[in-house]
Amino acid sequence: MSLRDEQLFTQLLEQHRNIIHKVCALYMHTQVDREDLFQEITLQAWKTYASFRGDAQFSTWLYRVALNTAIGFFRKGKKQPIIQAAPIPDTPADPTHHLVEEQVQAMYRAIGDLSAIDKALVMLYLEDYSYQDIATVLGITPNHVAVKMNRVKAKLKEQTQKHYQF
Amino acid sequence: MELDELKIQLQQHLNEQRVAMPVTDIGAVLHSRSRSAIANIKRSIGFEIVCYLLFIVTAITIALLSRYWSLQVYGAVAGILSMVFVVILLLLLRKIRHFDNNEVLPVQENLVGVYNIVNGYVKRSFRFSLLLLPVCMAFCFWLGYREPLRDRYLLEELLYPQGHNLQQVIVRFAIYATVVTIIIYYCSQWWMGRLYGKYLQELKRSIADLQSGSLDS
Repeated sequence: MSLRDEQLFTQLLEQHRNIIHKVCALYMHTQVDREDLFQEITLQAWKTYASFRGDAQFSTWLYRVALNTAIGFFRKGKKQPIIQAAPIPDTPADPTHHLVEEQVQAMYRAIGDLSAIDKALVMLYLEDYSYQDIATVLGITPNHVAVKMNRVKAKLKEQTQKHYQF
Repeated sequence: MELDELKIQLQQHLNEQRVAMPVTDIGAVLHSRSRSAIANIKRSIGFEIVCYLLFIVTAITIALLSRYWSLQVYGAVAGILSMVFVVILLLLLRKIRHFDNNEVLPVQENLVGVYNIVNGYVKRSFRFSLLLLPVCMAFCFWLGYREPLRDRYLLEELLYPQGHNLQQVIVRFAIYATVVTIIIYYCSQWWMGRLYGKYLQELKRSIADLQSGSLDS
């Protein structure tokens, strides 16, 4: 590909780099692994950029590349630590805010414990993708997405309830 | 606590995630080396091709320069066979490159494609090493007993320098071939398992996970 293509691609990726950041944050738990995954997703996107014909949105195409790479990106060695959410800001004057933050952290940890496929489902769901769009990215039917999404929601509910029981 | 209740907060939380990588780095990343399993397999195949090419040069040199007839035949046959393997490896490499650089497939199709490539590569390498070894040994044996070396045969000279009958040479050769084949079998299995075993398991798990809950399954 030409230098112009490279510049155009870099520009597009800069505009959508947040997508890659989100996928890296959800799938990898150490900074080093996140950087490695970031690099791998960027490379994969560049390698397959010629096949991007513009009939889908660039963000949808990038999600597909990023999730394909993240799901197939396994690290050798020790088991990853449980995903950590960002620390809760110190807001003693607002206990409701604190409670919500705690719930978000618990939910985020529960999402971190999901399988690679379920994480992909949750990620696209949180991005407000329709079941039809999720089905297109994952290569399954919308009905199948609905069945899986219900299961994931139930799993997350159970996990977070467990968290509050202890 | 439901996922939907916290959707907005989780979206916000995910949007705040950042990978510590300077903005200007994207350009540099485009020219870096991929560390995916497919990229590793492509590098392994490239390395195998280079090894085969070196072997072809050696085999042909032996075929042309050796003063033993059996070594000339062995060198020529091994050289021609290696050329066939190089063609097979080049076709495999082309297939993998086509898969890797082509259109971005949906997750399920992509996982199945990657699994088939990695699994196919592991099986092929395993069978190659196991099937070729006894064939090469039997061929050596046959050739070794077709060339008289002074008053004895070449293979007999190598296996029983003190001089024994054909039956003893066959037994010793069979033991030697069996032991080497068993060692190679376990070594290949261990090495392939170490390189790709866990990766294949994870891929299989993800494919099963994606297919679970389907009304068609």
